Amino acid sequence: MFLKFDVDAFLAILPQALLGWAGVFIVTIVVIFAIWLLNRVTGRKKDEKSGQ
Amino acid sequence: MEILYENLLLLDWRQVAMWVIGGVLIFLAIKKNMEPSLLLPIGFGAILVNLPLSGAVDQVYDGVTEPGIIDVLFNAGIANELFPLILFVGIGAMIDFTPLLSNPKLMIFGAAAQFGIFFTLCMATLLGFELPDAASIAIIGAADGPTSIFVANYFNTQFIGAVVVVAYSYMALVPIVQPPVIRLITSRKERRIRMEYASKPVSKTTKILFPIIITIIAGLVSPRSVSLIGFLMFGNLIRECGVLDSLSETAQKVLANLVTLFLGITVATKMQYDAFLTVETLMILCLGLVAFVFDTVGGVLIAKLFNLFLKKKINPMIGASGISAFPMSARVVNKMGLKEDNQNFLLMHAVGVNVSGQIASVIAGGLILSLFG
Repeated sequence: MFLKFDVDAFLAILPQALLGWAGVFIVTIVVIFAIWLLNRVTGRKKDEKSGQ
Repeated sequence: MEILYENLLLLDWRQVAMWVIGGVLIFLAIKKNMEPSLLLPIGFGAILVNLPLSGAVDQVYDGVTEPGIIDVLFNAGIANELFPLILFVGIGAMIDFTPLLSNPKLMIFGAAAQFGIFFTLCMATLLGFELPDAASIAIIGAADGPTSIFVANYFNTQFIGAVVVVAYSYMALVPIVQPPVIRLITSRKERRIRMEYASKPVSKTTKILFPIIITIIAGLVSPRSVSLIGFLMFGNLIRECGVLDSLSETAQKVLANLVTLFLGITVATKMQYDAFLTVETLMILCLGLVAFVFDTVGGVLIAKLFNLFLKKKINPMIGASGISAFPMSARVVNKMGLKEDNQNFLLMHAVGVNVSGQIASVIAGGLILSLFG
């Protein structure tokens, strides 16, 4: 089984692995946007309170 | 008289080899202080399960199976994913996400530093491992024990013992593995880049809503991982809500310690000599190193890529902290920064990236489950 390179399996898995890594980035970008939005909304509330 | 030595005659040299491996793990835990809370129980467990006809693991006598306590614990706590998930509650309660919440852009480096997982997946497949085994080996790159156990157990890999031991060993070896890789791919000038830290205030509402929102987003993308991210975030919600201080303290200390105690010794059931002393274990040891090296490379190179477009440059070393091993990786980067320039304090940036890595590694684990499960 080992020390025999399975190039076909490697080529089959490569696009899925790239998709997986890209997926981590996509979810991360969504999370970054959610945090940014959260910071803006809660920051604005704070500003309004301090303005009063 | 025969009863005193008949079991001794059943001793196999490979069992003795496993005692030595167990002894080495105990030595590293005590003398080198390397992940002692896990390597010590794993090391002792390795000795316990490799005694001839050890009553600690299931044995068959006259066709009847006599359950061993370690196998009982494995079925009760790991086979059903209970221990890693409970441990995640404790870890979630321990982590302060404020550095990340005040500078969410840092999360991108956490994502970048999961590169090692996917690179190792390809390498393990190339070397002939079946896909479920390759995915279980690749998750060593998550640099996060509970995630490794969860994913390896989900795929029901025969290599779970090796995967867990290798994952925890390399997590302990982060101060040795990461610096040469970082030095190799960064210039001295880059390592000396100073980064100012201006702490932006984060509201309590943000800290409370963050774990809930992360759970929803991750759960929608990868429903199979929702228990993993959910328990981590549940622990963090207990910490941040402000009304469950005693529960938070219990989760951080008593609960986490209790589960860790049993987790280590229970994993050892998969370190019985016939399953552990194989060529595949050696390959997993090498692939684990590949995963950690390419995690580091991924994080640093993405930071360098960002620097091509940014006016205010980032110290690319902080990208290496995107590897989840928390908080060791952040400390390593901070130490390297201070070594190059004794006024270069990178700790808070590195911690922000490091906690991002914790989240990103769980997301990566979830995506592995979704893609290959």
